Amino acid sequence: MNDPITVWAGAIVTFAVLTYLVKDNVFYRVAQKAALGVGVGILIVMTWEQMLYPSWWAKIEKGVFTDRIIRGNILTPDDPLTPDDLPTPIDPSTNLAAAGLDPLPLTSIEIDNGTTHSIDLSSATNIGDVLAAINASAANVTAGINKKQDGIDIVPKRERAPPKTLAVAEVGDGTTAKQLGILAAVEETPWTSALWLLALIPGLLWYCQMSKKWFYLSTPVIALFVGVAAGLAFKDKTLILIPQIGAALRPLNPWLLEGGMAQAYRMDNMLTVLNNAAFLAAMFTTLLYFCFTIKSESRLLRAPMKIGRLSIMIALGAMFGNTVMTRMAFLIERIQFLFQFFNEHILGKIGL
Amino acid sequence: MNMRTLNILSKLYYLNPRWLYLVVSVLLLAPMFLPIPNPEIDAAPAAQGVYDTVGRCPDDKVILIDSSWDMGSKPECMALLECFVNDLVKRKKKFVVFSSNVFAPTFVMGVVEPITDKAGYVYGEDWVNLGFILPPGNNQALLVDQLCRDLHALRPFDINSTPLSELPLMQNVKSAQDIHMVYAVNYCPPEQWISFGKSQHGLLVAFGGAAIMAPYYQVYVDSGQLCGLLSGNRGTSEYESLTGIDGMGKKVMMSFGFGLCFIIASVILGNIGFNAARHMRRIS
Repeated sequence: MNDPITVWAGAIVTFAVLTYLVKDNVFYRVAQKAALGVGVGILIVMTWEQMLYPSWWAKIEKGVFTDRIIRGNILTPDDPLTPDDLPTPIDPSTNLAAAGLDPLPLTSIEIDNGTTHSIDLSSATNIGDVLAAINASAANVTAGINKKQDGIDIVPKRERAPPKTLAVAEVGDGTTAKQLGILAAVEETPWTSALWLLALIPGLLWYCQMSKKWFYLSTPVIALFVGVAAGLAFKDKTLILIPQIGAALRPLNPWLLEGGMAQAYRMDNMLTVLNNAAFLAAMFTTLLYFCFTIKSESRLLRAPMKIGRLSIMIALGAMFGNTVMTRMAFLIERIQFLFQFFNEHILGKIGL
Repeated sequence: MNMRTLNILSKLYYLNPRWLYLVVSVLLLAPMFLPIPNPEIDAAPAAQGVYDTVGRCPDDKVILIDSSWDMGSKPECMALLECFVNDLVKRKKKFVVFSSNVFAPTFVMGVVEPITDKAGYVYGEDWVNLGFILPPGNNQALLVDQLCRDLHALRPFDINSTPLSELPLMQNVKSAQDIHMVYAVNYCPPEQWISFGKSQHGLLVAFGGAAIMAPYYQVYVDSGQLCGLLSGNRGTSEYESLTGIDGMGKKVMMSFGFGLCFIIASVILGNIGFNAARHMRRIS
């Protein structure tokens, strides 16, 4: 809101759209088409940045992400500690001596991500100090406690071009990396990551719908997606509707309400019964109105169907009222924005 | 009724709607200039339900906020998020916020950060922003289901790419069992929170949605599938009444009042004009 270009653009576009109220005009149409174009443009960029790149292309380009995670475990094979000795789950405040690390103090480790970085851990007294020293180094990695909370994981920082390799080595004759369970040499991403390219095949098969000749090729992928979606939708609707059916069965007997038989005829209970009766009447008559297999000429059904239609009209009226509320909220926000803009950026600039 | 009266009344029907737009605009702006205090609004049971559920949140659990609105629904959803976060920091409740809409995190930060900074909330200890979470298979049901099963597996990093294992708050928040309630704010919050979050994983779910969705979601409050519902600016101002913190909701309620009175008057006068015009046509 403080960036003048954004504010001016917002005000001009808002004003251009509102001019439609007077008459359809070129300013309105330009704003409309610009909004559409910008929306599609942003959507394409965001789809790539947030979905396709991290979930698919990054795996092909740089290797499967998990291949470059060094999974640490303080319980190394040579370690005399047993899981029972380790004060798991460890957290940043866990003391290194309590975690069973020996000898102490730690010395240094080397992280190789294409360039070698030496990290001094001699001043670390707890796990948090170790993590902080690694994270503060120029190695461009993030160290954290692993999922099982019994060791340290090291992951390249998320960026556009993460390193292809990641390795942790000792410095000189030190044993620090081994003690921390992070001594690891990770090879370059295996060629198998290129298999992600195969995901393009079912993706491209979708486009076969556009050709009559090749349409049949698209049916397996469509069937797969429809099957998954239908399965989820079936579960979704079942989980939503069954409680709804239960809630629709409301008591008309005041004895079943709060207070039981003793207070059955209290005013609030009687009002609840009336409310329930009105609800049930509206529900059944509305359902009846939509029973197209029954002839509505019957005198017996004509009145309930009318009540059903009336119930629908009342519900639609309530929806219309709420629609007005929402649209008005939008209008208030825009009008207040324009007013604020006029006050600050026009009157304010000319000193009024 | 004589022809002269009918003629005058029928003019209401043929009134140029641009005059109505102008009057509505003036009426909506009027409360900004008039010294009218914020109205006192009684909370509906649906808003009370949200407030009470927040109050019952134990110290070892968090409240999850699904804030997936963007510019298109900012006028209502921003206030709905603001009033709720204000309440959380006032009652010292810990919370985790995420978005399933790629555009939403910017708006979330704009609302949440000023409130948490002012309240002295520590990021990572009192609250966490997970940022945008891509629904698996672009399916909301899978997102809700996986989030309830293993949040860390679905989203191992927060919005700043910090591993969740490094954030003290997130070390105790791993699945639905560690979450007290979910508050979903959006133009139309996803029903999957009810089907998968509530029915399958037993979460308490509250919605904050646009007023237009209120009749649709109210049935879920009545059936107990939603523990509460805040709808539009009315819902916001009800919640602000409960918390005692005046915010964006109450500020616009007077404008709403003016605008709605005018619309109701216009509907009545328009109908009178319509009937007068029809009557005149019949006579002539």
